[in-house]
Amino acid sequence: MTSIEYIIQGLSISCLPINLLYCLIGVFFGTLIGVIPGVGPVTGVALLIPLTFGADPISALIMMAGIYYGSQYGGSTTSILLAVPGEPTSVATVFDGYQMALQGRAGPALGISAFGSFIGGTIAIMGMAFIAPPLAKLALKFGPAELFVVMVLGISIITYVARFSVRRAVIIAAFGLFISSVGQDLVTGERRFVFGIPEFAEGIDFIPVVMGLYGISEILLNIEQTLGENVFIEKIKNLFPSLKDWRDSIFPILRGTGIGFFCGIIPGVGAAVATFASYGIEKRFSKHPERFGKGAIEGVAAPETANNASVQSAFIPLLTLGIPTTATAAILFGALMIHGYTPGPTLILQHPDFFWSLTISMWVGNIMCLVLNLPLIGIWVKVLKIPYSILVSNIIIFCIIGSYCIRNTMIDVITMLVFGVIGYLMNKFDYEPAPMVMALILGDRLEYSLRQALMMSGGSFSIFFSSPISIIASGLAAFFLLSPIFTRKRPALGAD
Amino acid sequence: MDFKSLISGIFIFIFGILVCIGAYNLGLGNLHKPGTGLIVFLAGSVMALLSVVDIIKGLTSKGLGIKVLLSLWEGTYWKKGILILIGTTIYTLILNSVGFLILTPFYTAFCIRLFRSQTWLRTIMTSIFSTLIFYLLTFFFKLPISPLPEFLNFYR
Repeated sequence: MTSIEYIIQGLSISCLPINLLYCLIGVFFGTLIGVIPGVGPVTGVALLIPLTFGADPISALIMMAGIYYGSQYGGSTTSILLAVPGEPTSVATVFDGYQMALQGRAGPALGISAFGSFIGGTIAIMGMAFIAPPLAKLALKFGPAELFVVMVLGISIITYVARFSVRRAVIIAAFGLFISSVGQDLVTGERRFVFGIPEFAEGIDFIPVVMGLYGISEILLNIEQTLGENVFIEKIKNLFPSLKDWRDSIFPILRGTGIGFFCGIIPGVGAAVATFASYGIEKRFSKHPERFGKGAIEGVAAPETANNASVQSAFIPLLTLGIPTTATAAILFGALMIHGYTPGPTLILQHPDFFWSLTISMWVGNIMCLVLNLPLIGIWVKVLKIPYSILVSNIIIFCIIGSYCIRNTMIDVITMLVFGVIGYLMNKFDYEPAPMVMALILGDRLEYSLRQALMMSGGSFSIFFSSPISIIASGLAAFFLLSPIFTRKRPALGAD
Repeated sequence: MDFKSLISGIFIFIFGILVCIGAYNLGLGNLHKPGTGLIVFLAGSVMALLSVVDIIKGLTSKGLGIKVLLSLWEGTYWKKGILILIGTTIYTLILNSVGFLILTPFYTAFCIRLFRSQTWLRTIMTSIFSTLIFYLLTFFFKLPISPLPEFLNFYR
């Protein structure tokens, strides 16, 4: 089949009524997650994975991808109306978005963020369609040694951009590796650290861990937080930006797309970095930098475009190399595995229908996001007014249902609660969970690749430096792990 | 002394050592044929070695006393946190016996009242509404949650 035929096939699959429904559910929940402050895409995707258990794998992945990029659309609403970013990727939007809202221009701010996201998303999806298949073919040359070093690189970049110290991020990644080792050894079949709990023989599932680390611990931390009281009340009008707004925004949107696209591809950098980079660049090169922070529409258009472009392009390393570049992508990696797809070079080549359906559904989903975000803005504003106590109780029940439904066992719910407490303590002692999640999800494959590579080389570590890919990846991993020892300053951005 | 670094460092150091011991007992193998415990041993070693830096930092830092540690919980409503954990554990343990549709409204009401005082009418209405929405979700997405008590399972 030619590429055109694959695209047509993908279009026909993604436009099936059931897939359109799952896409709509995904983007709806994604937008909702983005709107609710304190529930980021990581928690959101983890919370909603169980809803896909009964679905066809393609429908399930369409829905989960929708949650991921939908959350980027929704995040702007709280940033603009409430000055409370729903997630780190919406922080840069607050600077000018909230100021615009105060000046009575909440409508154009919301409008340009939705249109910018759509344009950024569309271009990034086109980039993905062009880059992913040849990259997958290149990645087919990866052996166990290359896979191992690339996975180590992914984890090391996540530790490098950790909010706190790299050392602590490495410690927590090692802890994640330990958790991933619980259960049956893939090579020998021997049981490890099951402590007499039969359910642990299959390992500790990542979903309860993620729900605990992000969902429950966040609730424990925000236990008395009151949200939804300072919602921007004024009626929102003129959602469609004026011609002048478009003139001011079009180049920031295009630049934001480029920055977001490249930040999404690079492991560990992610959408949060893309938003700050694009905001900084717009301010730096603007003829009127003094307008930034006082309601410049470019300050909304650029970061909002960048975060959506970044989220779309994050699928490229995930689907072609099997490397999740962010914590949310790591959860999608696990979700793909649950549904029987192994992310990596063979995925696109063996299941082109899956790849093209997902790609095209992402574009369809972006259109849905645009529709959901503009005409339905009133609904999202109402969501912001729901008392936190009601949201919290529903989030906890979602976590419980989600954890229980993975294997129909309450041990997973208990695991979630335990990791909720661990996550709470980690936050108190300045350890962040993203490296742990990454290591937990990649742990099995990492260990398997290491052992396979060592057996192939007869115990020689030279195998990890035997090809250009592994040399470059090893060098970069060493740089990211060791450079903080020699430099005082490093980016402290966190992974979305 | 920096108690925050010291305590987390000591805890992780001990944990790392225990992981190393467990991994060693599993068998490390050799580089030609890595054993079941090799990667776990490496993970434990990384935890233990890097946590030593925290311990040293904790012992040598000046001006940061035990007050820093206590300040972590200053102004927090930790009693509510403990209550929510206890409540959720009980809910989890009896969910299958009592059934989702019967237990969840009570649990939701408990959470709502615990976090922020709402009127009883609002609490009850929200609890019932949330439960029904969740039940519809579990039904639509075919999630295996038992809606009724175990002894009524013959009905399903």
